[in-house]
Amino acid sequence: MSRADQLDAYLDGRLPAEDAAAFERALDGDAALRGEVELQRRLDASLRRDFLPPGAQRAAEILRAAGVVTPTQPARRLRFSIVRPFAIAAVIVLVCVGGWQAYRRAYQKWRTTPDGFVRVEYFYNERVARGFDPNQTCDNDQDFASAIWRTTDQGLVLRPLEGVEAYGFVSCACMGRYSLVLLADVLGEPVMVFITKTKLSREQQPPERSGLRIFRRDVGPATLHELTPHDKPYLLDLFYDPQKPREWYKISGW
Amino acid sequence: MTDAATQPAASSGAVSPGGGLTQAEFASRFTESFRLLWVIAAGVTGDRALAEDVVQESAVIALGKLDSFEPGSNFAAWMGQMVRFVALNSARKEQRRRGVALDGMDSEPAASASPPAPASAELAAGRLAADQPHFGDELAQALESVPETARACLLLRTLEGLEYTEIAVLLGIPEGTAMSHVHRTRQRLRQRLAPLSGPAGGSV
Repeated sequence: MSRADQLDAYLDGRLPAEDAAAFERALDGDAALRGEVELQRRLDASLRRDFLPPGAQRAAEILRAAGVVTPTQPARRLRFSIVRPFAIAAVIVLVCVGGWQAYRRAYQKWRTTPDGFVRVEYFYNERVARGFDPNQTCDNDQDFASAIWRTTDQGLVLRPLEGVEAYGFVSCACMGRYSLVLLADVLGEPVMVFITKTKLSREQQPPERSGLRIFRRDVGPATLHELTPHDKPYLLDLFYDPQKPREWYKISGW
Repeated sequence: MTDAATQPAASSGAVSPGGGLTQAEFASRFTESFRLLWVIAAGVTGDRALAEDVVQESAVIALGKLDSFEPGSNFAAWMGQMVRFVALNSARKEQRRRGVALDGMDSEPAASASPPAPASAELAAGRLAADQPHFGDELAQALESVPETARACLLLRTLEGLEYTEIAVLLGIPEGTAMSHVHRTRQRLRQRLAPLSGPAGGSV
């Protein structure tokens, strides 16, 4: 074995123990050989420094560039674990806000018409659910006529009829910006009459599924709409003009 | 020696029932073997940046040949030879681009010529500085004069500590050739760089 082969074998750790010991003895007395060993060690160190392989992250990048889905890297998991709570919170906020907006839109659509008036079936059902109680009751025909006169400039009173009981008035923005609404019981069913100034009145039909019908009658400057679960109006024809002077209607009202 | 070079392919993941590899299996084994593959590419090309391109190109080629992988065979060797051939092509293209004649695989290197010009003041004086642990450009230039496969053998031995039999499997060459490449390359580098290493650095 040449000296160079011996040196490589020694550096590779392939020399038998006896030969390695002999080589080390030779090293002690041979400065040139020691320099050669040292030179090779420095060369190896230089090679390791100059050709330091890239980390596994580069392998993942190469795979991704080649279109291969790679397992998540630890650093990526760490970053994700930091980001995840914020991401979840953001998603929850977005879902809540989005849900609320969607609910509001659906509620508004269900509650109001496209031009912003309260749907008659919604108003009817809501009042029924709240006991169908009026905000104003009338002690006599003058009270009654006066309330309608203040809304429409048309005094009206209601003829009595068996099976009909008038409870009183509420107001709403269903058939116009402002309507006075008579609440009444007709043959055991709640019925409403919307009383609106004709020039401000608009039309609205309840959907068929609501089971309600609406009927109209104009009296002077007033328009009456009867919203009823019955298949015909009972109240519209009961209204009549008492033919009183204007002063008769000017009493303190509610 | 790393597991990637010695373990049979089946040890690092299930093989598809019909042979070949799935993309997931490929990704797993590629990641395990990446260091070795990069060293082969860096050895053959002698260029760090080019080595990454070579490994990437080899991965793309291998992905198109997953069916040809034999279950139970050595993934690192399968990929290693692909990397070696891609690297040889790249190295030759790069040499042509630079207008430098490339040494053949079995030819003697052009290194027998005189040492390259030193890059620093210390090197200009013919010595490494006492506190300069590395050879830098001088080593890079000396390596350029070494045949590609010999350079790859040297790096696999030095950087990865592979046994010669393992180097032989990875590069598809006889074990004796691998050993010879390493010894001759070491000796050549010592001869080239001894003048820079001070009075004690003779050449055996």
